[in-house]
Amino acid sequence: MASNISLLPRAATSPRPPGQAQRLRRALGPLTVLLAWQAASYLGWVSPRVLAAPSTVVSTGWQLLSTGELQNHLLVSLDRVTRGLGIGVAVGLSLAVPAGLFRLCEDLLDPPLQMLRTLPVLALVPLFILWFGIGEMPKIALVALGTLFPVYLNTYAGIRSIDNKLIEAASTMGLGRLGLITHVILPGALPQALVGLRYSLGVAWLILVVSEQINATAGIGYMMTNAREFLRTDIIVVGLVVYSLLGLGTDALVRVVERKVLSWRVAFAGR
Amino acid sequence: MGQSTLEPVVRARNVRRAFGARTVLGGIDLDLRPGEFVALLGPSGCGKSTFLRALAALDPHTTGELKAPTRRAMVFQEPRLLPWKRVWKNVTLGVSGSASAVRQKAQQALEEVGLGQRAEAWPLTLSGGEAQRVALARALVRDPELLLLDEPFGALDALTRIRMHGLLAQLWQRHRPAVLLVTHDVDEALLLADRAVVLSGASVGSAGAPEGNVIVADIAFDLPAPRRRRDARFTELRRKLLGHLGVADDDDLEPNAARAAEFEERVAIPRATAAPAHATLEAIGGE
Repeated sequence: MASNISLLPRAATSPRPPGQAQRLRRALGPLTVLLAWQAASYLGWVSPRVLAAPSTVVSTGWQLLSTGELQNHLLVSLDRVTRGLGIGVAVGLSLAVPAGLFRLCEDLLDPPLQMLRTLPVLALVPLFILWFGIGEMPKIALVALGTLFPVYLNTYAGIRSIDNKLIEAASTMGLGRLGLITHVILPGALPQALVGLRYSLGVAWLILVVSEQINATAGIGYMMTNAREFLRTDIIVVGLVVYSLLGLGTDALVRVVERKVLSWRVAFAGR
Repeated sequence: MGQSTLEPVVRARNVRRAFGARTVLGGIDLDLRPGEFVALLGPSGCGKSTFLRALAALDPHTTGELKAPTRRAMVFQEPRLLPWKRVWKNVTLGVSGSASAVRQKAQQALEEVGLGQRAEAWPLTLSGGEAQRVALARALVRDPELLLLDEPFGALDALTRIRMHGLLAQLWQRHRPAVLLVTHDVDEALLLADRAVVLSGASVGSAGAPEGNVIVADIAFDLPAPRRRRDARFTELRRKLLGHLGVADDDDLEPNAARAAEFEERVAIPRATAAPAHATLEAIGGE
């Protein structure tokens, strides 16, 4: 008798197309929350001192945009993050590459970095203010220090995780030390280094939020702290929305870079 | 070129290698003439790959006299392609020259192994056999005087392996490098090589070879041109090699009547117990 492999009914196995109905269904939850929030504010159950209504948040956001105030703060914040991240990534990479490549550098660099890594960066705020004053310097330094470690740790681990068999094969192809570094070790460490970068971006925004609330005269964090003084919860929520959009945006940016640079990977993409 | 000279391309004298207290190679003496195809046989763990790695200059801890040409290439059991470089860039890794000349070289080598179409592919999209052919192309593009093959077909399925044997024989005919093929497959050696060298293989701790393994047999194959397994000389050499490896010839897949009967008998016993399982399978299939 011919054996027949029975298949599950087609409808159950075929992935559902993300149709309009499904998209609508998925939007239902957040929309309900927004509507409930709006209704609660409208009916006076929630005082605007506790939380501004969504409609107020939108109009406030629009107002801040039209006066250009939001853009100014945003630019200041972006500037801080870019500088801090730039320094952090550059230092992290320039420590990770020698530590990953050479035993001597590993022995010299890794122990102090592993010790510093366990320090909560934000606990350094008082010290940084004493050292760098209250200008831009402590904020950028905090972001740089916070982003340094994820980049260092991941790049270092990426270099160390490269299969020795590949290095061996490449060296039988006549590649010297420099050739091995540029053709085998650095490209092989790149996926892990990008994971570090993504993590760093998250950390960068987090540190910025805190550091901008201390002695700042501009930036999203300053805008929010200032709003607190006047009980303007609407402005605070605008700030929160901006922060989360920035976080999402930068993460998406790195993912685009990943997809481009790591197109050679035929990785498990999830089911 | 070096065809006229009898100077060996590989010259090994008293090559030794120990891993801690355990001596693996206990003094290997071996010469390879230019263009010679030699199979290096031996039980697993006897140091075949260790010797090959020494020849590839991958092992700085070998002692003794070892001369090998600088123009050499190695193919490992796994393809060991760099996944972040396209196939053709893997082939020409470390090859210098103008970009277009290098690209052309790669294309030529890839066409020789039948993969001209996959030059732009990513290595991770290749099948096992294709990847191993790329590894062969990567070795050939260097125009080696010595080609070191470390069980290059060991991880391939039987059908692919047969095809790879044909390809290797053809490439060797065309380029004529000296080849040292490490294998544990006696048939593979007999089909491809001119000569087989057998390493002794006393396991660790046994009294057999406390001083490490040495060459116990060096046999030239005087086989007629198209090699056939049914050839009398082939079977004789096969038996001889297996004898050196400490295995009785099982006459492979041509069992004589007595052995066939014995085989039947052995299989017949579990069949009774296997029957219900078989029936169950059919029952499931029928649903």
